[in-house]
Amino acid sequence: MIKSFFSDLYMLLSDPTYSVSVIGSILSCISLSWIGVIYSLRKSALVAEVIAHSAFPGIILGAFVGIYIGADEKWMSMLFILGAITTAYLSMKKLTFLQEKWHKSADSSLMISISAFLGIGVLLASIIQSVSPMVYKDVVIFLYGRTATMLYFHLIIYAVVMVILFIFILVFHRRIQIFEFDKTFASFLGIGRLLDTFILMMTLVVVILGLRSCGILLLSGMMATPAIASRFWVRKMSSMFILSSAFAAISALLGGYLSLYLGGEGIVLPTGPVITIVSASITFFSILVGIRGGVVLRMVRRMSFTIRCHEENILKALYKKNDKMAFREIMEFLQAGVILFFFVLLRVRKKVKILHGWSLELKEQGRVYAERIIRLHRLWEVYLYEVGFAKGRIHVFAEEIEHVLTDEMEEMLLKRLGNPTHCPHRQKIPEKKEACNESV
Amino acid sequence: MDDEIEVSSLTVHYETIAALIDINVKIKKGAMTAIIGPNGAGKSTFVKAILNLTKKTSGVVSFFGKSFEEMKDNIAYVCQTKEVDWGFPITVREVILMGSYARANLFGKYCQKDLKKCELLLVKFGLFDKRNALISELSGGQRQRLFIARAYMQEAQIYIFDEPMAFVDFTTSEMIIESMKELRDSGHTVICVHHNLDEVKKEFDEAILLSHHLVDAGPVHEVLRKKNLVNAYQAKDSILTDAFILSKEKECGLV
Repeated sequence: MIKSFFSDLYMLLSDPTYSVSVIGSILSCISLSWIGVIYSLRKSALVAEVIAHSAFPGIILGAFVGIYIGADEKWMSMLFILGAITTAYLSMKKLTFLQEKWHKSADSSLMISISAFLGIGVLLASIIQSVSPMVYKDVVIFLYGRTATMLYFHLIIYAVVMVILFIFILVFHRRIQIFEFDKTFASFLGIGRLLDTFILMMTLVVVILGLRSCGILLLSGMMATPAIASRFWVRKMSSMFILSSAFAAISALLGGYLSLYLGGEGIVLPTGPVITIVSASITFFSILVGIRGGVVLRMVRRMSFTIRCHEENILKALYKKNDKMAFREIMEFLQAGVILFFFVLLRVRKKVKILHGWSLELKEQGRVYAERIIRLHRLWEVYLYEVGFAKGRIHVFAEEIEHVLTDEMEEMLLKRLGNPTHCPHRQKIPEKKEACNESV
Repeated sequence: MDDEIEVSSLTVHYETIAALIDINVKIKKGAMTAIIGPNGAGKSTFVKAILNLTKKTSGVVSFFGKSFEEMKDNIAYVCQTKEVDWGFPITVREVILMGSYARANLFGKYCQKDLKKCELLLVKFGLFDKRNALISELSGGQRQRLFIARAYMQEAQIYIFDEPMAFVDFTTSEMIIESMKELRDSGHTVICVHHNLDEVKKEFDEAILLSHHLVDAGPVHEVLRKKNLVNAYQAKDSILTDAFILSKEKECGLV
């Protein structure tokens, strides 16, 4: 099955009719994903939505001009691009005007731009339908995208744009990072304005070229998803660029493949939706299992923290009792089930001795550990009491905080409190580890 | 003239709200000047306006006889830490090195000298252990120290801080005040928006007391007189700003 999948992919890439469309969509999706990384850092992915939607009336205006001068297929698609860039640029200008001059909020300005331009586009489209149904068919493919309509010369344009964008990012990645992180600082360096303009221009071009593969309605999804997915795997900006382009390429390739083979005999599914679905699945998967804050990772961390709290509570209990404790007694004390207790036991095993008759006794290592927890607990109590918490309330909070205090925080507490010897409940605070080693 | 930052008739509006009204003040070169005043008195706005980060309604600012554009490379501004996105994928070291970007080559590669200086600053501001960590992992105090280290890296003449002591721990605030004094003693001009009057009294040379308008400016002990403070902090009526707002609203056709 896997073998046939790869041979199908090979077929797809070597077949002259399909290879153009697949490679074309890979190229444009990669460019889109790079732009997407920049906008995700800027937290304004919706800009792509504005560009895509407001390109529609431009495409149709281009078509009108094309019909008027009797352009051929190549010229027609150049006119589409030109028209699209014009209206998209106008709409971006309108957007900044609304935001800066009229002080409209970001999302209302976006909504006004998106709906006004798309509305005009749909209106014009219905006119062109009656003028020339042929051209109308060419125009509406931009709504959802259809890679099969790509020609060899599109490929060249995509490749050129991708290379330009690649060089731009390679040379200016530090500049981009500074500008997106701290605009104020960038303005002092005087690197803001030109960079911003260039990014906007590249965005216009890349988004409009991407329309053929993803379509107006789905494009911003294609732009945003690889960047979001990459955030769950890597931590550096440069790695984000690399990984998201890989995700984009996989989406485009797999999307092209699936749209061809899922439809069955003779039916080709529209590529735009399939590519976006693949990309969204990658993102969903990343959110789930990503190693940088994915859902599964967080669950594991939470479990591990719970187990650690229980471990520390056992050690504390053993220390205070100064005697062995039976399993049953401990389970009751922790209010833990058998399974949880098993994991806690696994974790605590090096710090305690497991005696015959299912009970636990503290080892030296465990004693030191327990003393640390008790020290942190009482230090925290001293601190809370000093800042004005009622004496009756502090124990509960200390039970919680004792598990999370770091060495650094302990140091700060000691400095602030001046090495207290007793907690507010008049119990002795165990001394630090070095001191207790001496006493042994 | 050439040893002062001169602000003349500076007025700033946010939409129709008058944030600062006709500020005329001179800031001495090589001194430590605190900008004080109650919450919402326009302290940060004042700093932003002289740095061209906010649009001025009117007013001229000259830095030692030069315009802002001419002096831009010699000014290091430490903004409030809440103004940037701390989830941004950038490491501590990268942020500090940003300070020397003006000296980096076209590809953003920093020179040996700056890399070495960065290491020293990492140690100086207690961030060495965190040098390769993402900035999201830093505590409030560490974030402020990070920004100050970046400002050091800029090797500027004028250092402007916006509330560096807000939300920081005791160690950090001590470290910040020490570094400001160090900058002043080596001949730099230090301007700092501050809210702790006791510390201003103890550590600063000059003060500017703002409450939408300029209440007083000059040596700290003169500015921090009771009369001034009552004027700035306890004047209950807001007729000054209200009248200006009303005038502006009428002008814009809003009322």
